[in-house]
Amino acid sequence: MRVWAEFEKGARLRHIGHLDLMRAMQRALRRSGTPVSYSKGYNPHILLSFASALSVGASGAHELMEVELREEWTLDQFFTQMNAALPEDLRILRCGRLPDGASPLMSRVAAAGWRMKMIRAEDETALLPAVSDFFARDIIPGQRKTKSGMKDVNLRELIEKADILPDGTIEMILSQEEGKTCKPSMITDAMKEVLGLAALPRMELIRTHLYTRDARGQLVPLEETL
Amino acid sequence: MIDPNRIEAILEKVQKAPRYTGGEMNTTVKAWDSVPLHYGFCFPDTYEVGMSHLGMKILYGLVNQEDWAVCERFFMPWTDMMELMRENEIPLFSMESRRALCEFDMIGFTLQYEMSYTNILAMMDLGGVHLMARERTREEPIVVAGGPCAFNPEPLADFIDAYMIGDGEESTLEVCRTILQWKQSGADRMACLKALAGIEGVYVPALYDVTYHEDGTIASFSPNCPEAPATIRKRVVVNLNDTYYPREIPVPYTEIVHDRIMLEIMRGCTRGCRFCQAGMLYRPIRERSIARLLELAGSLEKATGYEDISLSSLSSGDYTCLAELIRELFKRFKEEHVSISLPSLRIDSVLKESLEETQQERKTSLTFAPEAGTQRLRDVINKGVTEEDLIEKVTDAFEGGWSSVKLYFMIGLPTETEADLDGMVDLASKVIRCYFEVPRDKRAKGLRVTVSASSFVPKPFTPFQWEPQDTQEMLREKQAYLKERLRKVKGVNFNYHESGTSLMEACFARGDRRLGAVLLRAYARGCMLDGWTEQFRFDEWVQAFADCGLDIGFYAFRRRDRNEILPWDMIDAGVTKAFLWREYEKSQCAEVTPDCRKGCHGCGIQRWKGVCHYAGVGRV
Repeated sequence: MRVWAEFEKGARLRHIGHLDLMRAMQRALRRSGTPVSYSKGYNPHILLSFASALSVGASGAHELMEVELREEWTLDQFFTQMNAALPEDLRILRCGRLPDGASPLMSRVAAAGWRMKMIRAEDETALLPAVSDFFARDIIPGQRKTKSGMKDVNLRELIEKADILPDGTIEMILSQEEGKTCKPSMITDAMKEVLGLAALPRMELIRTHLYTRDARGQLVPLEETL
Repeated sequence: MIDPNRIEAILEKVQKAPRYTGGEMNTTVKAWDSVPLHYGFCFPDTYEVGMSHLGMKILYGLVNQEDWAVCERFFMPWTDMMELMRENEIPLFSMESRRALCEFDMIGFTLQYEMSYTNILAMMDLGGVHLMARERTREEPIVVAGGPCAFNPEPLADFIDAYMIGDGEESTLEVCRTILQWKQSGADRMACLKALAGIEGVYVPALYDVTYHEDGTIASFSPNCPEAPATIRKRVVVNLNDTYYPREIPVPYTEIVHDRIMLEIMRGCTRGCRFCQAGMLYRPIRERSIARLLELAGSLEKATGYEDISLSSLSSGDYTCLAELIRELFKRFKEEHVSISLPSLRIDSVLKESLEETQQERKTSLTFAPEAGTQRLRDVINKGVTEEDLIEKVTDAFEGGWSSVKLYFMIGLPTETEADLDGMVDLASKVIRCYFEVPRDKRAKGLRVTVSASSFVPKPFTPFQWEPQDTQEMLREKQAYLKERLRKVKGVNFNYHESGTSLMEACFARGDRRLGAVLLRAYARGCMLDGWTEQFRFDEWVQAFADCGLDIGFYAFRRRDRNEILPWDMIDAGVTKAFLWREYEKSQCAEVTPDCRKGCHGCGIQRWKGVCHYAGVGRV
């Protein structure tokens, strides 16, 4: 039985990296009594995968994972027992059954939504106009790490959407498509460069959603399609 | 409480931030004002080391069980974090409520290793607590300490208000209650110290005076008030089955040194190795029953989700029904993908059967500790292990599919000669021969033999407590000799440690109260995290001794006279001085003392009624 779960990675855990988070989730699965399946072989591990790795520094509002169970299990049990077994900074929000043969969540992710907010109001007053200009540029010079080293790219092509909300929050949708993956650090590095700053002010960073493309090619939150 | 925003701002700049963020599964957060007593448990090393320590998990759970107390954790920040904290005037804060160290009613340091002493100063300094005990105000925490190094409390006497000697499960809550009563009484700090001195096993250094002879040795040591007992008897847990053991332990997010369930199967050791301080301090031997262990393992596994359980004790191979215990554990956890590991494997334990069971999960390298290269020297140190034992066990291991073996030795042991060093080389060569004698199709590929030689440090409450340590020149010469000879043995990897650390360890292990000044001086000169090779600054330590007019050689290289007053003489650790001296004399003629389960040697622990099952048995 395959189960998907939408979960929240709280702000306190934003320094926890992908592998540590995977381990925490695996241990929670074990604590919860969920009948998980293990891989075969020398070092058996729980068949768990996240739809997308969330980098250090960010919290996640609607993250997604899928896990393979070795026997039938009710979604109610999964939800209740997992939340009882998780620390308070990790919460299961929803869960459901993935049909056998359905493509892995990981393969469906096309983009990710991000929310950035400067911690201090005075930084916003000073910088937001320039940030707004930054996103309005036709060419946003940036760099992407590839197998053969750093490569210049026009970040414009990787940004699906960028807005500044009235409260100063910067909202972006960045591509996660093969060969076009854009991390928020690529944006902030470029911003630093273009704005001529030695360092950007402290910002809160949240991944709000993972997006997939619907039949018409439109970006929709992946969890809404499940 | 410290402004969370200020903490968050520096966390973004440090390496390994999860060391400082807390919120781990099974940690306890209580509303600050809901409990009258706040205990800050301090591990004077980094998070990764401290969170691997079983004693901390026991005491953390023990105190938090009480509804009138809360225990929160503190660790030593790494240098980058410390700099940022200083720069931003953020005090050392607890993992749970993020309150400053100085806000707690009591703080407790566990003393596991002498080279962590400067970290204690750094943590108090950063936490806003006066370093010198006598300068602390009534509002400041009472500073307590325990653990194996507390058995010689004197080097830290200037800084610690009270020591708990022996098993912490016994005294911790008594100490907490006494401090709470004092806090509510309004009496002065001295009243608290005197009340603490009335608890069995508690040593309060301020209540004792020391005088010295001109040659630097101690002339007198005595209590300066009627409340202070002349000797302090260590506390002993009588029955491990009845004593507190946690059923849930914190599960860190980030990887730590020992990231698994530690199941303490027994405490104490009956072997009587003469160099081993733990073997003397943790007497008598006490076992947990298989039923209790299975029950604890079940609870812990359920509460943590850990995939690994290690059996912990000084000598797990000596557990009476080890094979049965392992079998039962395997049976219990077969479906749950839990692996069971045995950390301190002795080579003379009947373990073949158990070995075959552990390998079902995975084959890591096997560790053997012959400690010395010849039978003569092994007899001197009473390491009751023979070459035949070793060869037999190594052969079993190679036949069982292991190909990686570690051999632990010590150099600088009393009476050591070149022949003993040659013996190590010889033993390593024989181990390699063993491997090649196993038919090719039956042995695993990739032979690796690691020979590790640590430098011997004489410790209090051992038969070698009167012995000089080898000088650095002598140790370096021995290391160079071994390196040269082992270079020619194919398949051997040789490891040894820089002698400076062992030298400082030797000074503080057997030091007196005057070393408090050296610690302060070394800390002022920037010494910290001295247990980390890259942070250890030997020259600064040498200078600190010189600045204080104290001689390193006096502490490390001097043979103590039998009648000398030793700095730790006021502590009754169970083993008597008479027993230790008998053992010392036997060592000098390479005479062994058999395992005490084969007959009681009257070490002294029999004075604690009913704690040692072997007391008086078959007395020769």
